[in-house]
Amino acid sequence: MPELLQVRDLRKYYWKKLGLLRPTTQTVHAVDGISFDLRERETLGLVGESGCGKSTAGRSVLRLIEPTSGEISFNGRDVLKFDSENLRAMRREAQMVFQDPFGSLNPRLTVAQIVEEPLVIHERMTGSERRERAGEMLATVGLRPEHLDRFPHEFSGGQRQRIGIARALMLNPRLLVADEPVSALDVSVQAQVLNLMGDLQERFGLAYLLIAHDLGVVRYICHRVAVMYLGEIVETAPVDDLIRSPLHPYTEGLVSAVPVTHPRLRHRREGLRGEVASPLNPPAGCRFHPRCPYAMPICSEQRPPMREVADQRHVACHLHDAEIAKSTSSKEFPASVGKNSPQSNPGAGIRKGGNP
Amino acid sequence: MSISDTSRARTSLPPGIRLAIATGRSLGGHTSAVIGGTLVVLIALTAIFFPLFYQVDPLEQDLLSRLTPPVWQEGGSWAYPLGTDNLGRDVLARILYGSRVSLSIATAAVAVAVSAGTLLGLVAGYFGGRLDNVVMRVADVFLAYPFMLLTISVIAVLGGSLINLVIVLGLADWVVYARTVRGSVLSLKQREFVEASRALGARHRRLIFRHILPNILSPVLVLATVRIANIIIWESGLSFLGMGVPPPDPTWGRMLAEGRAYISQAWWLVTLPGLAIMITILAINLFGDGLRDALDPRIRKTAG
Repeated sequence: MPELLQVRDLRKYYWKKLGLLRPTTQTVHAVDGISFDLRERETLGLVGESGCGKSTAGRSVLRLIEPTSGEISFNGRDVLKFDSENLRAMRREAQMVFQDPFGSLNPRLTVAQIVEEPLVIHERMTGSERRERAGEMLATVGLRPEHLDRFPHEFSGGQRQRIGIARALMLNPRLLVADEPVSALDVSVQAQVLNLMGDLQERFGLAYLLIAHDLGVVRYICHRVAVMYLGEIVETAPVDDLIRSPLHPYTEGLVSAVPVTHPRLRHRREGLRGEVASPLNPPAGCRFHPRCPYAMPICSEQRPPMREVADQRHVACHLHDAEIAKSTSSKEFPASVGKNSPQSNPGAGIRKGGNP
Repeated sequence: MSISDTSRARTSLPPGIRLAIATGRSLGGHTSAVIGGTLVVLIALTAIFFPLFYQVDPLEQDLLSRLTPPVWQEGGSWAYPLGTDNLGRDVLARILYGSRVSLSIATAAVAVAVSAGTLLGLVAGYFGGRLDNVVMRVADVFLAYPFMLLTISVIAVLGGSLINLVIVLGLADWVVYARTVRGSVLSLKQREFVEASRALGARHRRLIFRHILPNILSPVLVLATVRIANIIIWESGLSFLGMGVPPPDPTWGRMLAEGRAYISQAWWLVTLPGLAIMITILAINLFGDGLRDALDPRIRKTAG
C-alpha cells in the first residue's frame, strides 16, 4: 500500500531563557530527529513514557506545533512548505482526536455546533444539510441524532470521545492523529472506543497515528509500533513482533512492565530502572544508556544509528550492530532476537546516576 | 449510554434556554443573590419609571419651605416626603433624578470599560508577543497612576459633562477587564477544544469569537457587576468634589457635598442620598457575589 505520511528527521526544540539578564538559553530537545512512515489504512502506534515527545511529534505532523526542522510529506506533498491556505486544505484530510474528553469539547457549544463546525469552516451548506450530516455522523459513531441539542457536560467520557471522533470524521479525512484517545476513559469503555476506531478505519479507509503509552491499547489496534525514548525513536516493528520479541532494551523494559493477566503465566518483571533523563540535557551517546542494563562503553560515546535488523524491524541499539556484538560476544547480553523475557544478568554494565 | 431522565425531560427546550434555566436555578438557591438581585431590579425600575408616580421638579425652589424635615419628623409634611434642601428643593425628587444620573453614568462607563478592556485583553492574550507587551505595559501605567488624579485632571481640562465622565471613568477602568480577560485567554488558548478547532482549520476570528470569548464572558460579567458599584462611588466622589455632571442636574454626590454645610441642622440632606448610594452598592455587590457563585461550575457542583 502506498505511503500516506512520511516523516524524516523531524525535530522540535524549545528554547528556555535562563534569566532576564543572561543571554544564554537552554535547549529542550522535545523531538530530536525522528523518522517514520505511515501507509494508507494502517495504524502506527507511537509509544513511550510521558515526556518522550510523542504528543509533540503527533501535533507537529499536523502543524499544530511548528517543528524546528525536518520533512513531513503527506500524500506526496511537503507539509512544512504549506502556506495557510494549503494548510487549511490539508486539514480536511488529516484530523486529530484528543486525549481529554472533557477538555476537547467547548462547554458552551451544543453537540450540533461542535460536530457541524468542520462543515461550517470548509463547506458551503445550509443549516439543515449540516444538521442532517451531523446526525448521520453521530449515528455512525454510536450516538443518536437526538443528542445533537445537548451540551457536552451531559455526556459520559466515552460518549464525549465519540463526539470528538465524529467531529474529526466530518470532512472525511484519510489520516487521524489520535493522541491517547482512550487513556482518560474507564477500562470498560476503552475497548468500546477502540473497537469503534477499528470499525471506522475499515469503513472510511482511515490511517491512524495513535499516540499511546499503554502497550495493551497499542497491541489491540495497531499494525506497527514506533517506540520513542527522550525524543528519539529507538525501535519500530510490527506490533506482534515487538511484543513477542522486543529488540531494544527500553522496549524490553516496557513490554515486561505490562501485567500478565493469566495466573499461570507469571513472568519475570524486569521493569525499568531509574528515571528518564531531562530532555534539557540528554545523555551523550545512546540516550537510554544510563538506564540500560546492558550498557557497554560505546553506548555512552556513540549514538547508535537506526538499523534494519529484520524485515520491517528497525532498532537503534549497539547491541544489534553485528560488529560490535561480535567484539563483545564474550560478555553476556541478549544477542538473540526473540526472547520473551529479559535475561537476568545482575549488574551487567549497569551504570547508575549516569545523567551528567 | 446513560443519560439521566431529568436531562431527557428538559431536552425539548432549546439548548440556550436550558443553560439559562440552569444558571437561574442555581442563582435562585442563593439567598443573598436573590435579595441583591431583587433590590437591583427595584432600583433600576424606580430610576426608569418614577416619573409615572412622582412628578415633582427636582430643580424647583421653594425658598419659603427651605430645610423642611422629612414627613415623619416634626414639621415635616407630605408635600415634601423626604424634606427639602437649603434652597427648598424636594429631596425625594432629587434622589430619584440622581439615581438616573448615577446608574446611567455607571452603566455607560462600565460598557466602555468592558468593551475596551475585553477587546484589548483578547487581542493581547491571543496573539501574545510584542502586542501583548505593549498593551500590558500601557495597562501597568494606568494601574500605577492614581485614578482620582487622572480623572480630576482630565475633567478639569475637558470640563465635566456626561459624555466626558463616561469616557474618563470607562478608560480608568478598562485595565481591570484587560488583565482578567488576558489571563483567561492565556489558559483557554491551551485548552484542547481550541486546539481542536485550530486542527479543523478555523481562522483566528472564529477561534477568538466562537471558542474563547464565550468562555470568558462569565468572569467578565461578574467583574462588571462588582465594578459598576465602584463606578457609582467614583461618580459620587467626583460630583462631591464638583467634578461631576455640571449643575443644576442633581446627583447623589453633589447632594452630599451641598448638604454637608447643613449637617447639624438638616441631617437628611446628607444621610438620605448617602443611604441611597449605600443600598445601591450593597444590592449590586450581593447580586455580583451570587452571580459569581452561580456561574462558577465548581461552586455550582458543591451547592448541589
